[in-house]
Amino acid sequence: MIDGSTDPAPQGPQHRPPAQGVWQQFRRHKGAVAGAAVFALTALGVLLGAAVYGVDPQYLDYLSRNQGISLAHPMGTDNLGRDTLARVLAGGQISLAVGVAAMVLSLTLGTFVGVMAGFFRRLDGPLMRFTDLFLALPVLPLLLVGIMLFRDPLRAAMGPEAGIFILIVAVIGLTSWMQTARLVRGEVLAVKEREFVIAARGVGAAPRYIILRHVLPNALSPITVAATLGIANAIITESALSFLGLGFPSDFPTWGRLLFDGVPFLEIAPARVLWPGLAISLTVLSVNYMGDGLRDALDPRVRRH
Amino acid sequence: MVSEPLNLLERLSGIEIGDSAGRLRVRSWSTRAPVVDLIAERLPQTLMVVGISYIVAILIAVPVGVYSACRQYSVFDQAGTFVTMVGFSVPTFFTGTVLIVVFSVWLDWFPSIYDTTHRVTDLESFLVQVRQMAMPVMVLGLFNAAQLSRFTRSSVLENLNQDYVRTARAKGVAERGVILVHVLRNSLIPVVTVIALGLPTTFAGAIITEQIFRINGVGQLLIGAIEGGDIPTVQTVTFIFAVLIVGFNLVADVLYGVLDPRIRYD
Repeated sequence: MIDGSTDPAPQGPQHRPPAQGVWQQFRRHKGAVAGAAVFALTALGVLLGAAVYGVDPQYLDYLSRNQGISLAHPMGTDNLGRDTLARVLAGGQISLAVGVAAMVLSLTLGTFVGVMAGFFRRLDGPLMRFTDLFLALPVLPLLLVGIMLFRDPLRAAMGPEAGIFILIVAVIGLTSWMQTARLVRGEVLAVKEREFVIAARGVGAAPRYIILRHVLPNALSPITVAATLGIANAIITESALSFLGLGFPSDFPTWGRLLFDGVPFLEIAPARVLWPGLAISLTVLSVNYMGDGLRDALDPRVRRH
Repeated sequence: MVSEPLNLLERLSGIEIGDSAGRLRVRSWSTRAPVVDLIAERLPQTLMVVGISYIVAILIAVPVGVYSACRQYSVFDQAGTFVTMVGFSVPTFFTGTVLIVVFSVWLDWFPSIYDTTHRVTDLESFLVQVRQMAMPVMVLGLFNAAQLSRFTRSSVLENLNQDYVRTARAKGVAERGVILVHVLRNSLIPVVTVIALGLPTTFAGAIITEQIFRINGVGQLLIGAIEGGDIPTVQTVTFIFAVLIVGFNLVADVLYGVLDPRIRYD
């Protein structure tokens, strides 16, 4: 920066849009708004629906097995006569909980690694090579082997439900933080050279303070985008694991597990497979659209036109 | 670690190295057979389905990606973006089961279970083979096509604004030639690397597809071994996955240098 120019640094492309501008930009992306609406509806429906609908998902009614759609059972029943709608609602709570918890874990890890790598030059090389190492791993076989190794000890230690929940959240979180780390590192590298950070460093602020006060708030936009896409990824991964029969137990169903349990009854009651599958697909699709819209709204290069 | 590659070498070259009969082999705990033989038995099925689905994916993705980039924001582009978004979001195990419901339960066109013992001898058995491969290939192919076409589209879009495209147009090259000769060649460079990097991931993704259609492939071997606690098999299969990934990463890197002479690894 010794070019002697008196012009202030060009602010255009780097200027962060205020929150209102982001919202306006977001609203212009129709798919994103629809996605946000669908996701909010799904989350609300899953959270409140179970209480409103009031049918016990574990109640067995042998007289009405494998039924189709009816007034009493809007989504039909399974081979033990349990109400599918109640099970989809209950499963949605767990699926979404896993999605959010795994996203939080992977975001925390990814942000931590990204900030460390971006802010401290000495850590950059080792941490990014470490990230590359994780990126090169095939996720699904790794998850499967991880579950094989740790399922039984965790079950014994914490009970079948809490144990498998913690295990699944942990393995998904630990294998999906790399993209966040890369995005955050790039953003931190850019923010680090901005004047206010240099000024803060000049007045003797500790690195911890600079990171928390100046760098992180300015690196929020890639983190937000990564957060939405992280939920989608976690829900898909969890349901894939459950679909392979290595996820949650059948009396503690998630959407993926419901799908898996429905497959043997495909010819008798195809609806049993369709509902949870639709729920997964709609949720993931809406979250992906939301992420797309957020990325457009937060990306200053797209914003200009 | 040493014995199995030695066995392979021996079989390929026909030369006996040391005490080959007494050499220890990695044996599966559940079947007592050498793990390598188990994998060799199942590899053709996986390669067949995964390979063909990847070819299908490339054949769909590249034209769609190029066309929607050339007509950005047109109806085709919008529809294509929506379809790729759906293909990307809907998990393969759901598309697979839906296809089974529609095509084998309702329409009865394709079998829902893949018959591994089927041998192609004449035209009729070939058609049976095509029919039983149609659904798994479609599921895997569409999923990969969604990702690839998104990537192709953005890569072509990036290249369309380059100076050399303007030069080509100014020279009077027809639009067709500009796209096919100049833009496509340059924008396929990153796509090729993505394909190379994606191949090992597809093996992993094939685990689910194999599970849905009951294909007796490597993925199902892994799942079965995990469920049965058959650790030697799990170790061998995951080790092969690891080798594949390192190998294809290397291939991608080298290919990148070969395709794009501007990139040098000194």
